[in-house]
Amino acid sequence: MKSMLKRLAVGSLSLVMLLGLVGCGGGSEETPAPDPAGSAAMEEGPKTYKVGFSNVWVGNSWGVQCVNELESYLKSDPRVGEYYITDANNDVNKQISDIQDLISKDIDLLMLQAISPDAVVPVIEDAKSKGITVVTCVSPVNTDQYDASVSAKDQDFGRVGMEWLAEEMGGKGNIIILNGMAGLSSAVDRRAGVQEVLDQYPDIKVLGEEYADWDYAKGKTATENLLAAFPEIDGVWSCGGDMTRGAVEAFLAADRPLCPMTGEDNNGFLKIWRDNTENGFTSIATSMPTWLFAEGARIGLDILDGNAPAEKDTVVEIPVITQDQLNDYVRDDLSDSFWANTHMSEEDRVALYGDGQDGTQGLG
Amino acid sequence: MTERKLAPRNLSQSAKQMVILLGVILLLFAIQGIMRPGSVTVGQAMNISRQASALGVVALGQALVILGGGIDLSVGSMVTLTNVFAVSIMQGKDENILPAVAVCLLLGLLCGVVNGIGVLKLNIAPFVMTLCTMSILQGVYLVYTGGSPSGNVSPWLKQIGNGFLVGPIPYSTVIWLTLALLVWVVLKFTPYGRKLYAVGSNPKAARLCGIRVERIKFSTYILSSLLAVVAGLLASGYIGTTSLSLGNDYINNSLAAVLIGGNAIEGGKGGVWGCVLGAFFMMLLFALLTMLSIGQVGKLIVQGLIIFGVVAGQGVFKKER
Repeated sequence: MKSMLKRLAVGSLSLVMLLGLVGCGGGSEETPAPDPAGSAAMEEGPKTYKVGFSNVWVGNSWGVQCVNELESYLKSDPRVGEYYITDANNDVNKQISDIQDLISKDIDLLMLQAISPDAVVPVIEDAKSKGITVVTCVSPVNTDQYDASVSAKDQDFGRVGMEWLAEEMGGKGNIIILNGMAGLSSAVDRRAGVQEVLDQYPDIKVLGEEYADWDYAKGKTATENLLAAFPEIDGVWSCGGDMTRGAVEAFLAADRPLCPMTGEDNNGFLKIWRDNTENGFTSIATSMPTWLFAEGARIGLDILDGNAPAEKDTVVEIPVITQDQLNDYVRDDLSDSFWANTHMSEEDRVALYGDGQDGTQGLG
Repeated sequence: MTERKLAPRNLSQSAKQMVILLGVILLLFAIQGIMRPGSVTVGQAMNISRQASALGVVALGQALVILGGGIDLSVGSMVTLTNVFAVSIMQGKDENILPAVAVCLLLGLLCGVVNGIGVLKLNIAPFVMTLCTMSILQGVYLVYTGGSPSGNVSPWLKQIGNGFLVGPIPYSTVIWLTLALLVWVVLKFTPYGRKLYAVGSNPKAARLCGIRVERIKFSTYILSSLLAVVAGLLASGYIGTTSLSLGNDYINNSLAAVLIGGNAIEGGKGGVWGCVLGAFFMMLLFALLTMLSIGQVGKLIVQGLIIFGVVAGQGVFKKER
């Protein structure tokens, strides 16, 4: 019953999103955005390119900023003549037809985040055979018919945070773990990274572990219960910033001293972190970079210019914000939806996330 | 259908099931005390009652709909929708709380009316109709937030979601139990309550008795949506911010709480206090499984088995009577 309901829920959600797509096409249609600087450059001579990006969907603040960063980059790179961004709303068939549309627009560079590693193979092989440069971002594809890929490893995300936590705790003590969602590869991979570190620190004991679904309320509830069960907790490894916020709240409400906890570079979390430093709270913000699409665009344009990277597959290191860098990153003037480890220009940051905006309006 | 079955307004049938449930709750506390010595305190029990309060309020509405022979799957989406709208209107300021609550209650009313029209005027099966509203509401809040909600609740609401009225008794627990008391009074002492039981156990007979069956059923959908709004406000106060996953578990858990509490899925049987205990039992069980550090797989299996055990036990007991 439970799983059937869930499946029904997921199914009907995608139905609604499809309907939403028909109803308010404005937001999800392709957005051709001729860059005035680019067209001017075209007249002067230097070659500009047409770029297409097939996105999965913008279902959360991270996804929203990934696309914003890409747009910010495409607008600022003079090599870009025109660009198109499509949104597949998490629908494999829509992604395939999106990519076919992009190909028919005569693009020079195709970038995509694949929903399914297999489903897009024929269509990207088709693109490749038409001489289009293909760059895959974040998720893999099951073919070698692409020019470059750029991604970051969830396992590193888990490892980097846990390494910091282990050192912060002096290599021993009791921790609790707030995981993402059971069965989701990114949660499983991050947890595997944590285990790599734990295996090196036999004196660190995992008291309790909960899959809190990256959810604020569940993170808080789980921490409340673990606090009641264990009088001594020396560290919290959390799979995401919202759950860490919930954990901080639970510690404060239970009148327990804040122990080191891992977090994320989400501005909402950074504010909580900063506000609690005087209570002796220490943290680290690991990032799943929001600029991976933008990086993919840069690599793709370099390939078009004849400067292919030495390695076909780029795996970026997980960026971190440490305690002493915190004040350089936390932004009171920007909304909680902002992810601080960004490559966007200051102007674009303020335009997207200033005045309490959440970035969904886009750069327009 | 005999007349005796038509009027089980005295809750004796479910009362026995409630006693079993109460016993199981005490057993869970005992296990917690043995496995994690010192963790069973008034404070922790109150914590769990606070964690259960939003679910408990949703379950009250769900219980009314189920009593009337329906089901409401839109409650979870309504909780999230309330969270999203309340926070975006409040903007972290106490002076915005009244408009925020008003807008959310209006949205709840609208959702209840839509459910009611679908089920009763268009004769769509409740399961299907409320599934549709669930999806539509999800679409609404995804479009409204663009997938990226932000903002904070007002300090007052945050206090309601986290603070204590007196001593260790949280505000949200008091609100939950007050609403439960209200619903109980309505069911037990008003003509509306008697009619609702009649409609749930045998709509045909009820209609022949001159009860406006549709009107009664319609009202349960409205009440359920409004109670989901109240729950959404409590949950918003608890987390202090917005979260698109806030309402995800409310459908399953509210149904479980209501059915564990001794209410019959086919309608007409059950009451309020069983579903209050049901909600508390669910949260206590989740808390205990978290405390015992059982792996996720084991946790899901144990959770399923315990719920199965409780309901099966109640069924056996019912037959013996």
